[in-house]
Amino acid sequence: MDNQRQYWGTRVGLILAMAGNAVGLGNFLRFPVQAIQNGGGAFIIPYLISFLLMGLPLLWVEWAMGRYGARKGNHSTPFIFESMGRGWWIYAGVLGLFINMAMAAYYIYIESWTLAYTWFSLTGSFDFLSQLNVVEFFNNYVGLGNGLVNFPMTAIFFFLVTLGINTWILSYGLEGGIEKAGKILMPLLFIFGALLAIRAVTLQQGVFGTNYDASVGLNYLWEPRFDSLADPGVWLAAAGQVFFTLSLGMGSIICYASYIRSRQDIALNAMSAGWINEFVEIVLGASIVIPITVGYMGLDWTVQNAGFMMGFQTMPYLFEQWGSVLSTLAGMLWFGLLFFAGITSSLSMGTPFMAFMEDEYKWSIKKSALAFGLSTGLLASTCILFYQQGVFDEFDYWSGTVLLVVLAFLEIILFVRIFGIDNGWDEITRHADIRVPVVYKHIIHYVTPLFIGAVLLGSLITPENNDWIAALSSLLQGNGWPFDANSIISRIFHLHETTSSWLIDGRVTRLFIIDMSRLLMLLLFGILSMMAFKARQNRRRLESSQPAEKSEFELEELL
Amino acid sequence: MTTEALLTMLIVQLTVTIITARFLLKIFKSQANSKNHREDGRPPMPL
Repeated sequence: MDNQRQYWGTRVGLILAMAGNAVGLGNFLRFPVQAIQNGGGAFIIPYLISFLLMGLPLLWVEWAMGRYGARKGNHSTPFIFESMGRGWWIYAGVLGLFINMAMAAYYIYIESWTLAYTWFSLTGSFDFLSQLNVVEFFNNYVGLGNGLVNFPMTAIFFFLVTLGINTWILSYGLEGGIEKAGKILMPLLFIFGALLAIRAVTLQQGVFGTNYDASVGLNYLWEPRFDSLADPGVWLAAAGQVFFTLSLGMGSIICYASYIRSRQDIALNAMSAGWINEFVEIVLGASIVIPITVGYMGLDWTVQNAGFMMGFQTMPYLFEQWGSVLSTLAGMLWFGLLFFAGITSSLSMGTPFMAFMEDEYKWSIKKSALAFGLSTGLLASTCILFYQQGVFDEFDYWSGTVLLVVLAFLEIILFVRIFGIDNGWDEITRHADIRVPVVYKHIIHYVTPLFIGAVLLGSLITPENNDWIAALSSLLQGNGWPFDANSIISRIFHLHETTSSWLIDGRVTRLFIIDMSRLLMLLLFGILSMMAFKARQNRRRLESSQPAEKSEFELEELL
Repeated sequence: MTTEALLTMLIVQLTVTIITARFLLKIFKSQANSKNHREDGRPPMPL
């Protein structure tokens, strides 16, 4: 099957696949935590401003880049970027392949936890476990121990099953695989999410052993603490959340958009997919974890322990309080929901690499899907085996956090400066089903790059505990800038590592493993760059031997 | 739950729901299942 002929089958299928790409585990586990830590109800102000000034414009930019690239016969970011910018932009585009492959390595592992936990919920594995037992259960599941290498057999089994499901769906191509999966899984996700949200917000004190009404958690989540708006850290947290929730700067939206037809709208499609994600995050995501956790564990415990891992280390215990039938059902709904959110995102991570191999090396869809599955399995093995040594976290940090912002920054520069804002605006509004307000042309030109630049700078020098005011005063008093352990500077130079040696008493340290994982990521980027370089040479050779032909997309546009 | 928190939650969640529903309605209006829906040359809808 020739991928030049691949298109999205229906508009609803395209929007559900795009929304599925954006809706991920973070919608349910990251957003509510960010909100309670950054001003409660007031967090929504910087969040929505970031969405309107950075999220939405960047969505349009990425969709426009995809459709423009397709007109030139390209479906992968290296050659889409090259068609817009020439020269070294092809290597900036390689980031769009690299990020997705590196992210898939750890993301599919998390996704496999949700599949495993769905199974454990169904088989009653959490019955009668205390909260500490549930934490221990998770630690055993991922194989935490004293050794250098973790070898969690059950986790590896579920990972292989999850990877197999991803590869299998991808091997059916765009319309027969990804689109069909989106059409089935996204409605299920809405139903599961709505059922859990209704259950969570109607929790009453004393029923099923609940200590507090759901309203206590909801109150803390939504009570606006307006003084928090003076803190730059809150604005950066909101911009970061918008960024990650929409899957911006990954290259997967560009790749998906490169399979739409030449005359198909992107303005309304992008808007719809973006708002579906916001609905899932703000309406469903905000109504599940916090009310339930506060209901049982209280406000102080929740504020102190709020985090991504709560979904696996706390929720099973809380569901257990609902009795055997309801807890099984709730566990199945919760982890099933997370699995659907995860798989619709991980499928989008496979597409850029597959598109590249199909376009440039003329591989079949099945062969490219298999290659993606194998390479992801290899990369993921380091995240699984060295989970405790921080390899999983390294992959997450560089590919899933830092490089997204870097690629988005490069994208916006390419779009407004190199390609030109006038050409870019024409591309966004061409065949549009809605009138995009002209003010957005100026926002995309000036405001969005500044916003992304601020997020990038914020990540580079994040101060300790994200406390910008304290850091500024420390700097002004001559005490230097206190870098947070998660700032890019701190991570690059290992400022918060306890050791600076690779070997202690003849045994390799955690630092060695971390540096080796970075080397592995660099190697992956190098291999992908080499492949892009070779593909460009092949193209030039072909161009010099054959007269340039118009792509199928260009012909369709001319008709 | 305080009135302030309740109002914030209701306003934000209702607004997001209404906007999402509005855009989805626009999608359905402009031939949700067509493969090439802009061929009739209709002008764009207002935002």
